[in-house]
Amino acid sequence: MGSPRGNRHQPGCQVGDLGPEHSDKSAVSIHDLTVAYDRKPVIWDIDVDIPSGHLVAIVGPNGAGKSTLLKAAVDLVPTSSGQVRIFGSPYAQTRDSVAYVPQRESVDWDFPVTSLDVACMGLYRSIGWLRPVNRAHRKRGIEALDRLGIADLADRQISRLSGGQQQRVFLARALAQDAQLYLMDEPFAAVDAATEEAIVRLLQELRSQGRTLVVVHHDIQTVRKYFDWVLLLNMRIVSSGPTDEVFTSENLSKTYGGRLTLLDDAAEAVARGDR
Amino acid sequence: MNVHTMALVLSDWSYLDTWIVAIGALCAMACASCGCFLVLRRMSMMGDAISHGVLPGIVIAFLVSSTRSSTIMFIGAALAGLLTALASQWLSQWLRVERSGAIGVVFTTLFALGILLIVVAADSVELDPHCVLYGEIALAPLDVIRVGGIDIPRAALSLGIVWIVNLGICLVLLKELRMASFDPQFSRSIDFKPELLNALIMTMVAVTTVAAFESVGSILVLAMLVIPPVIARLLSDRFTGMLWWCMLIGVVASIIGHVGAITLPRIVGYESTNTAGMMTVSLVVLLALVILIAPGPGILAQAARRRRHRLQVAQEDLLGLLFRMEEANQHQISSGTLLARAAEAGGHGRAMVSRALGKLLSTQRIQIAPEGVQLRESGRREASQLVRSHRLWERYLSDQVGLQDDHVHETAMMLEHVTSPEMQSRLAEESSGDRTDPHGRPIPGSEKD
Repeated sequence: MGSPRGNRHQPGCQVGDLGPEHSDKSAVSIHDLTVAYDRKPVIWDIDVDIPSGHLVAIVGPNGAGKSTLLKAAVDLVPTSSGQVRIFGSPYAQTRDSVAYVPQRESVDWDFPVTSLDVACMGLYRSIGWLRPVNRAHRKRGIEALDRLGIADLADRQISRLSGGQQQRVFLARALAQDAQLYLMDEPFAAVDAATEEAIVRLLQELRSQGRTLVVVHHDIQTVRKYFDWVLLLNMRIVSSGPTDEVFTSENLSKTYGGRLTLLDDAAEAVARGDR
Repeated sequence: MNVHTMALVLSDWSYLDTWIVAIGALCAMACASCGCFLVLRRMSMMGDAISHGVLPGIVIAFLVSSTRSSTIMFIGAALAGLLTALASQWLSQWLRVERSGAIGVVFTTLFALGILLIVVAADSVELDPHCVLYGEIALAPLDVIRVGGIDIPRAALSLGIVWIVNLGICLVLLKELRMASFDPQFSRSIDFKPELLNALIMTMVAVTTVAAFESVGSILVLAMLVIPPVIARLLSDRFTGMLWWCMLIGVVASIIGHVGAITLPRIVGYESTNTAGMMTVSLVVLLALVILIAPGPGILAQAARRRRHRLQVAQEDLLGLLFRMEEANQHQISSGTLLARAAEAGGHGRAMVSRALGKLLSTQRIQIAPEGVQLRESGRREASQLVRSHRLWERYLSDQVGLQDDHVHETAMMLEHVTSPEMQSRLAEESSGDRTDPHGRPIPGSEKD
């Protein structure tokens, strides 16, 4: 599998000079993005470019707007202002090159579908509306499950999988989408060590094929080990760039320690509508 | 005697009875697809809400058209039903309240509005929503229309159409509807319009509910929407499997329900009873039956699994005991003593350990020699792996978990029975080459050695 599409870069290519003016080489470029729930801004004035071909971690405390940033990128939440471009175009035009992996807790795992059913959902865009999933599609679904080491669980109903296996099913679905940009919301949350290892191996393999992966990540310990690019987020971008340069204790304490209390208070005030 | 009465009553079976069963079955099958989605989306009470929410639609349809034409009433009711469904979803998102809370707000409001409108309308004509809307299945076969020279009850015709349309939509849009119900966020990210599909499901629910209310009465519809999917989920892990089970269950309940309604009361000396009530009772009886006998989650199946597990544990305890005695060079133990010690050590009943012993003998894992009970080769291999798991666990619990050495035995006793080979090799890695348990006894080698 894997049809070549544009925007492939070799790993390790020089990307340090990328800015908004080079947005054609950016996998994701975000300008002036503000997203609010109930008028309370969750992310505020985000301006960032994520160059393609990197394995990117979005890091920040709870409530920093990490998931919201991903959702805004795939039009799952209405934006108050600003825009997101994916490979230089609006998401509506680049859907086929993007795979979104929601948080595992966002779905009901008691639902009567099998691992294979879920993996095949990644093919629905290429299958199209109204057409059934046929044998060839199921074969590709099983291949995707196999790359995550769970082909033997293809026919198992999803509630009878462990948490780590459920996460692998979600990633198999994303893999079946054969995208250039993967947006993953906490794929490492509450998974066992073997699953974490399998996921990391997969992510690095995908990057080495020139694909871009943007991953909401909670475990600060492993950022350096897994990711070559980091986006530190706390309602606004604290810093973004190669892990070696950006992932410093100073930036981290800016992200986690010094909560942006003024901005937070202002957000509350906006929500209440007073001055 | 009772069987005789039953046969006598059934000999009076007429085409009307057949139609009643057919209408009940068609209603159940029409409700099946909607019901599956409602139950899986955890909004089972939507049918109940729609049954009340339709009232203003009917009254307004009547006020606007000034006729009691059932088609116009039907359209008014279906629109109000759809409004109930969509408004409650929208309200729950907007107010951030739990969905059933929003459903409660919307349908009571609409129902009250309907009552107020009836008072206004009542000045000119009488309008009794119970006559217009809430049907009675026993009377449904009497209202017929002629199709191609045959008298067909209107209810059978409308429910038949609704069934075919629902099933058709469900099968054609199977993958889309299923995904929208399972993971709406992902559906939206690949542009598979979950909001639109949701509206389609709610339209199906509204139309089905209204059509069915009119023909068979409210209680039966609510039961048909919710109970068959709940039963079907116990019987199938697949969406399509659930759908077919749902329909089958509805048909069976209709037959049992009507036969029960005309025969059971006679047996105890009354006239027949309410068919819709009896069909609902049959559904509940089927549910109870399935809870009892369903293969996976059923009570009997679970009891059997537990019994098999206990027997397995008792066998393993016997093997472990014999292995430890061999280690201690005690080769003579009578079966009586062995059983007594195993029963005490493992907390098993005497009957259970005897069965376990019989099983071990018949599978040639142990033998009874003149000196006493002895392990045979396959039994010894199995026993050494059990003891290995046990002692690795003791090591682990003592070193990694930090339990006191005199507390690890009981826990290891439980864990050794559920330790897979993979778990065992991971335990071995964790214990980093320590060849003895915390009590200084040797840990037997792994199967591969």
